[in-house]
Amino acid sequence: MQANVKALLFIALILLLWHLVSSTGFFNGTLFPGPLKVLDATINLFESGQLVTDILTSTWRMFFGLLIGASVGVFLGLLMGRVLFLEETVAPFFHILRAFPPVAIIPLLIVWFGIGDIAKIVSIAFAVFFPVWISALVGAKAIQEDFLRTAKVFSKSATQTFSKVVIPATIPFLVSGIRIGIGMAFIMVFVSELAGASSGLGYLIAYAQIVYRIDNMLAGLIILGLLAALTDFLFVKLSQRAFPWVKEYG
Amino acid sequence: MANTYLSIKGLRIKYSETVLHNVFLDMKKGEFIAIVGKSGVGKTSLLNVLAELIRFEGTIKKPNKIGFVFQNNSLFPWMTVEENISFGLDKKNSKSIQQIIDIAGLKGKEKQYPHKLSGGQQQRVSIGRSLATKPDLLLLDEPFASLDGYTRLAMQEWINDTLDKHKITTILVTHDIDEAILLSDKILVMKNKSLENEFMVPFTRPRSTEIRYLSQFQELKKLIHNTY
Repeated sequence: MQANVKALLFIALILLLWHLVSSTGFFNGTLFPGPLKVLDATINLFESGQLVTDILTSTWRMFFGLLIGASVGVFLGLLMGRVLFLEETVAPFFHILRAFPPVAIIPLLIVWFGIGDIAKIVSIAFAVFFPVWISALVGAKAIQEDFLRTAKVFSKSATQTFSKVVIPATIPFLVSGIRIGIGMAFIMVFVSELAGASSGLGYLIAYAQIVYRIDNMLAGLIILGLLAALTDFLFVKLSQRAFPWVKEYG
Repeated sequence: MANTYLSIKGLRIKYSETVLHNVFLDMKKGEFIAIVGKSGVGKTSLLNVLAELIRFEGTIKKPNKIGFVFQNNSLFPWMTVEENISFGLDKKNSKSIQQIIDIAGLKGKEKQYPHKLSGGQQQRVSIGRSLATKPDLLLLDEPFASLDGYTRLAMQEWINDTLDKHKITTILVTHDIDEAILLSDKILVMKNKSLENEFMVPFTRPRSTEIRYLSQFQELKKLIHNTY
């Protein structure tokens, strides 16, 4: 049996169990709605246009946060991985920052940037930066010595060695780091929209809690999960196409 | 020596302890020498010096263009066969790249990535990558050490044939005495961090791997082995 068929069957089994448990009558239908009721709520949200707006809002916030966090992470990680002076000087400071829970900086960012999109995007970028930075740093340090020696034997300049050897050699590390970053970006897009937002999936879920619409809450959570899984899937597919030589994508 | 192509005089490498000392070597153009010796005696360090990868004391006169084939092929996994072979070239010349691909017997595999190739094919790409730059001196550091016996023999035949045709001055480092006799014109034994003994290989070229069964081959092998 193919792996994706097995995965789909497992999801179907979970949905069936959820349906059976919710239909027993043991639980309050409002507090624990079944999958059909959640599907109904999803369709209603979709038809009202709210869901599409929230998905698009969360997606672009997530995308820009991810793009900024990953780009800066890759750049600084590669640089620090190859320039010992920078690693020794700057990396300890980053390790202190890395210990900050990204969620904890949101109040500070709201004070600095207000409740608009900038604070949300910066918080996402902050959370994405560290796993990508550390993957790039480790990747750049773990390059096989023979690759660098080969570049030297063939008289390649430092710039040529960096572009033709160092960057490609760290690709598997960067892909892993960015995948962790995608997960972080979705957590942060949700958290940053819980307060001080008027749209987005986080806002949808927070609002549904206030008005006691558990079906809408579950719909929002499931859409968020599916969106995160889809983003990761597309990123892996894109990476496989761009870097077919990477043996394992997991 | 008037026609000396490569000359090493009083070479010494010392870190916290001495790696090589008092190494002298003269080589003629087109000559193929093999350096044999136990692991850790400094064979690879000598090649690293010639490739300017490590610092040393002493005098070395050598040609400029060096080709170096490492033990574990060091092919770039993100480059295709064609891209790996052209890595050392400043300007890509598709005709000369194709020639190397033909020499390496990899026609039809130009667009494949190294992980799709067998161990022998990978090592041929690695040697091809060095040959593409038309080196004045080729350094081979145990190039067949990681290959199985059958592939190793096939590769030895191939390298004999290829280097015979192109007359490239070559230094091979190996711990396999059979391989050294099969491929080289002269064998030097590295011992006590220096080159101690020299043996001329009496077999004419082109050579077949079948010479291994000759008594002269076995006697030379024994002689070299006794100096280890």
